[in-house]
Formats: sequence, structure tokens, C-alpha cells
Amino acid sequence: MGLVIEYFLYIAILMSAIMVASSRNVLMSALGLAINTTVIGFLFILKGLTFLGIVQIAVYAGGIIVLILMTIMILSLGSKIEFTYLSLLKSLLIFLLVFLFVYYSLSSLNFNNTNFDVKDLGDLLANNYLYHLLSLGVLLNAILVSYLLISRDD
Amino acid sequence: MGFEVFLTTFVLSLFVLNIGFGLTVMNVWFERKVSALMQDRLGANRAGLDIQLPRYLFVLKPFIFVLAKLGLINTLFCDPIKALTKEDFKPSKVSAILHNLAPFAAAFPIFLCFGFIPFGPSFEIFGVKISPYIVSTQFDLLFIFALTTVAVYGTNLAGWSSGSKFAFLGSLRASAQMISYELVLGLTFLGVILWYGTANLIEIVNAQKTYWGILSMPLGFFLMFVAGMAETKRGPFDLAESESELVAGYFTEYSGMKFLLFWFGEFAEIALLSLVLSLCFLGGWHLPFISIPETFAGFLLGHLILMSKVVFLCFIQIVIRWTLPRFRFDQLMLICWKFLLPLAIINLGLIIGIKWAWL
Repeated sequence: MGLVIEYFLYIAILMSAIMVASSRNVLMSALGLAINTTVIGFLFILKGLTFLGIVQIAVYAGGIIVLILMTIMILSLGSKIEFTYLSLLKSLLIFLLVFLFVYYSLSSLNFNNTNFDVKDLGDLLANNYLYHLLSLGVLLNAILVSYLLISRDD
Repeated sequence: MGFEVFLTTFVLSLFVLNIGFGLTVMNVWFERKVSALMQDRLGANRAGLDIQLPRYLFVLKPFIFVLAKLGLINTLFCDPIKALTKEDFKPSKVSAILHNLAPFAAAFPIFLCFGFIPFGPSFEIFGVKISPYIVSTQFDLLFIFALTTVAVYGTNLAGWSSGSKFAFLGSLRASAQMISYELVLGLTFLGVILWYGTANLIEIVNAQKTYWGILSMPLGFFLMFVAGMAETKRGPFDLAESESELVAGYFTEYSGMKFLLFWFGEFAEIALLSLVLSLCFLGGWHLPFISIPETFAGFLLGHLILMSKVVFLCFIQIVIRWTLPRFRFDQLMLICWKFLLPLAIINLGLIIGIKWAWL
């Protein structure tokens, strides 16, 4: 039963992620993001990471994405975005780069130590993976800039 | 999962849902009768009096007479029949999916929260231990907080998908109000968790056997009460549906059962707030100097005590709604950010200080 629910959640995560990337209505994309973060929260809870799951739902789904949704509503961005194959190619390229970057970073991490706590994780990230952290910061900045670009009133 | 576990959970879910719906309907009745009381009217007391029953059902007549005089026929029969049979009006050029989804998104998370509420002490009957809750985790309070934050999507989407300026403005007001007051509510929840050292509601109630939480955290009780009332979007915080400005706010374009779902969600929120306040600050099913045995009679007594507190708090909320005038929107934001939020931080600091210094 648990396994069926787990696979159902995986499918929901994938579907909502596709909805975020492919929807031509910005509002539906934001809604997809909300569903995505909520379902990831449920998955964390199912996997026994209850606190992380609750934080995921309360902070991301209940806080941040509501603000994004509100901004989209206030700026009336519900209208359909122009779709071109070039934009699809660009987003696929960016997705591939980010995926390779995350895959490379995670594959080199060593989680074999069972007494691994949050402090160790912080030490490891700050000492051994500083450039990865900085790159993630740049990536988040790029996301913020893209939000500004999307919300620009032409 | 064994069949017995499934059956127990199913029966408990029915029990909890029954209480949740019961409290919600009670709030609808309170709204009708308490508003009449506050305005020196009799309120609903006629519907059902003229009902023509067959001769063999004459024994029901006194029962129906009492129900009609109390105004319960309106709440129990007229409202649901009206909502179920009314046309499901949908404005043209609206997003049908979002328009249909919004009422469920507003009401469903609130009813989900009832699953974490213990409705009395555990008891043994025929050698079987029964606990009157569906789920009990170490994070009960946090679960309730997380689920109430998700409920904001219902109001948000309802306003957007209706394609009406009134509904849209109402939803924007509701979203801003709910997000702002969630901060205060979250900080107060944090204070409660720090004070009791747990977020499990049963452990919180059992920690109040000797003295109630309201005595140790009066500021916390005040903050949770005010912020919770603002979260329910009821008067004097009913900016989102202020009828003199926005017709009916974010659910202007809804009718029938969907409209009722929004109303049900709001009244369920009142019941949920009263339950959480009773469990965290008013001792839950405990009364000072009375110890409740772990028997079925003990459960009934504990349940009665808890429900009395909940009904009292619901009554107080409806009285406040019909007493105080509505705030202006800038006043609403001012109260939250310049008054309640600093108070919540002070409350948290006080709790940390007291716990660190004396306990």
C-alpha cells in the first residue's frame, strides 16, 4: 500500500513539474509549482522525514508560492505566453546543464558515515563544495532576475 | 495493514468527521441565533411549524415543534436542501477547473486538520484500548499549522478564476491578510511548543493537569485567539468578504453547494481554532482537581468537558463578530505588523527567558 502511494506521489511530482515547465499560462505554472512542493512534502512525510515535510509544505507551498501567485495575479500575467520552439530548446538546454551539475555534485558526495548530522553537512558543503554552493547562489539569482523579467510590464 | 487497523481507523474517521461537521453546523446555528440575540430579535423560529405530517407520524410533532422553535430546521434541513438544489451558476469565460477546484482547496485542508485533534482521553472497553483520534504524531501542532497555510489557495484561486473585480479584490485582501497573520500564529505555535517541550497535542493536554496553559501564557492565548480569528476571515477581520464594498468578496460568483463549501470551511475554521485553543491553553479534557479515569465513562466526561470549552469559545467568537465593527484594511495590516507581531516576538522571548532562567 505504502509503495503504491509512493509511486503515485512520484508520478504526481513529475506531472506537476512538467505542468510548471510546459504550461503556457503563468498562473497554471505557479499552481503546478504549488502542487509540486506540496507533493514533495507528502513524500518526505511518507519517507519518515516528517519535520522536513511539514516545513516544505508550510514554508514553500503555504508561504513563498502564495506570494508568487499573488504577484502574478496583481500584475495580470494570466494571459498566455508566446510559445516558440527556440524557447523550448533553450529551456531544455538549461535543464540539461542544471541536471548534469546536480548529478555530478551529488554523485561525488559521501553519505556512508551513519553519524552524519546537519553540522557535518554544513562543514562538508562549506569546506569541500564551496564552488558548488556559490554556483547555486548564482542560479538562484538568475531565477530571481528571470522573475523580474517575466513580471516586467511592457 | 491489518483489517482490524483499517476498520478502527475507518470508524474513528467517521467519529472525528461527525464531530467536525457537528461543530461546523452548530456554528451556523450559532451565527443565526446569536446574531438575533445581539440585535434583540427572536431569530429563526418558524420554519417547519406548518409541516403537514401523516397521522401515523404524530409522535414526531413535538420533536419538530421544538426543532422549529429553536431554528434548527433552517440549519439542518433548509440550508442543505437549498444548496443542493440550487443552480450551479458559472460565469462565462472563467477557468472551469480552477473555479471548481477553489471551494475544495478552501475547505478540504481545514477538515483534514481534525484528524490530528484528540477528542478526549484514551479508554479501555472490553479489553480493547481505544484512542479517540485518527493520527497522533510528535508534530501535531505543526501539521495543523502547515495545513491551514495551504487553505489560502482556495480563496486565492476563487477570486482569480471568477473573472470578477469584486471577487478578485476580495481574494487579494484575503491572501494578504492570511499570510500576514500566519506569521503571528506561527510564532505563537512556536511559543506553545517551546513551553511544553512537545508539539504532540495529547502530551500538551496532559501537561496541563495541574494548571492550565492560559495561566502561564496569557499573552500567547490572546495572540492565538486574535490571529486565529483573523485567519478565519470573520468579523471584525472580514475584509475579504465585506458586503458593503465587495458584494460577497472572493465567493461572489459562487452559488449552491460550492458556496456552501466556502461557508463550511469558514465555520470549520472557527471550530478548529476553538479546539486548538482549548487543547493548548484551557487544559483540554482536564478540569482542576478532577482526575479522569481511563474508562468509557471517563472518556465521556472528558469529551463533555472539552466540548463545553469549545462551544464556549465558538460562542465568544460569534459574539465578537456581531459586536465589533469591521476594520479598515490599513488598520488590519497595522494591527498585524506593528502590534501583534512585536507582541508575538516578546511572547516568544518571555517564554524562552522563563524556560531558560527558572525551569
